[in-house]
Amino acid sequence: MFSDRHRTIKILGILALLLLLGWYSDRENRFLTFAECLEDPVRFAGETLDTFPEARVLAVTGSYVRISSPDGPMELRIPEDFDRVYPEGAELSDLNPGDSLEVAAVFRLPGYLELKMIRGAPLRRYKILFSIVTVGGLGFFLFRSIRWKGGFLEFRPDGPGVSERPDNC
Amino acid sequence: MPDLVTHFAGAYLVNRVWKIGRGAVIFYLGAMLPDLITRPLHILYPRLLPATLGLHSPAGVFLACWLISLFFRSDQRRPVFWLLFSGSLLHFLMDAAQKHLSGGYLWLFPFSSRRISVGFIWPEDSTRFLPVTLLIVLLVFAVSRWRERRRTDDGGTI
Repeated sequence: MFSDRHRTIKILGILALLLLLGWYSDRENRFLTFAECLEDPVRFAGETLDTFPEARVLAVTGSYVRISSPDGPMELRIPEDFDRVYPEGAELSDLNPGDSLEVAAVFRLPGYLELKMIRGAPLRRYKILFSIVTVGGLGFFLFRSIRWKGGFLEFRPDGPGVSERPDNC
Repeated sequence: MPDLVTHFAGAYLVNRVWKIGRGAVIFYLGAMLPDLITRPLHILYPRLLPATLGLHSPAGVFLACWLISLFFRSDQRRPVFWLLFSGSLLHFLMDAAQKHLSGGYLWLFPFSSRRISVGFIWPEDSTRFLPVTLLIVLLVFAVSRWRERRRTDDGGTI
């Protein structure tokens, strides 16, 4: 598994397996889209659409929530007595344009989406920002700890942490 | 997912207990790896989300860890793989604390597409608690530094 024997073949094989896994995942986890529902409204009436990747709030009115999605802007009608707003205790009026959100909607005839539940995630942009900064820090730490030598990566003999337990790698 | 600062903090605290030494950086990389190989793809290209779901699984990460380890010197590959993979398992353990409106993580993929969710906090809650998380990390860092210095001083006087 870790020897130099057939190393190139192993690397290419693993890359192929990762691509295959991605392809299979795409096939198995495909989600229902509004466009598909509109193609055959009778068949999809009452179906729940629960995946709107990277959706954001565009506008909130008394009767609908407009969101952005990979299929373009969409309006989700708000049913009467709608109260499934998360996190618990939140209100629809707490949603602001630009906020990320997680949302589920039901497809209704003749061809519109009705809000089922919604969760605003205004902190998501900070979460992504802080994560990028952390990756930068890790990159710096990796550069200080590892070097490229003779066609392979290896730990620097004088890298950080060597004094703690130098013999573990 | 919690943010990567929280994932790093979790890995750092585990490292303080296990004293991983110079392999710590690889363990930290492992703790971020599941998100590193999937999130940039679907944040930039949201339509790729279904394809990335399967890679954010123990099977997908196992392959990624194996691939990365093969770029290391042959005598360092095995420890590098296990540090990466154990870091990734810690990542999944921390992700397990999260809840979603619908769905969850594909822990058994590709053998099953069943989405598992056992969480109790929302994905952005970790960002809200970041000041507390960082305070804990700083406290542990300061205490471990103080203990190391005391040990060195004791060693010096003997």
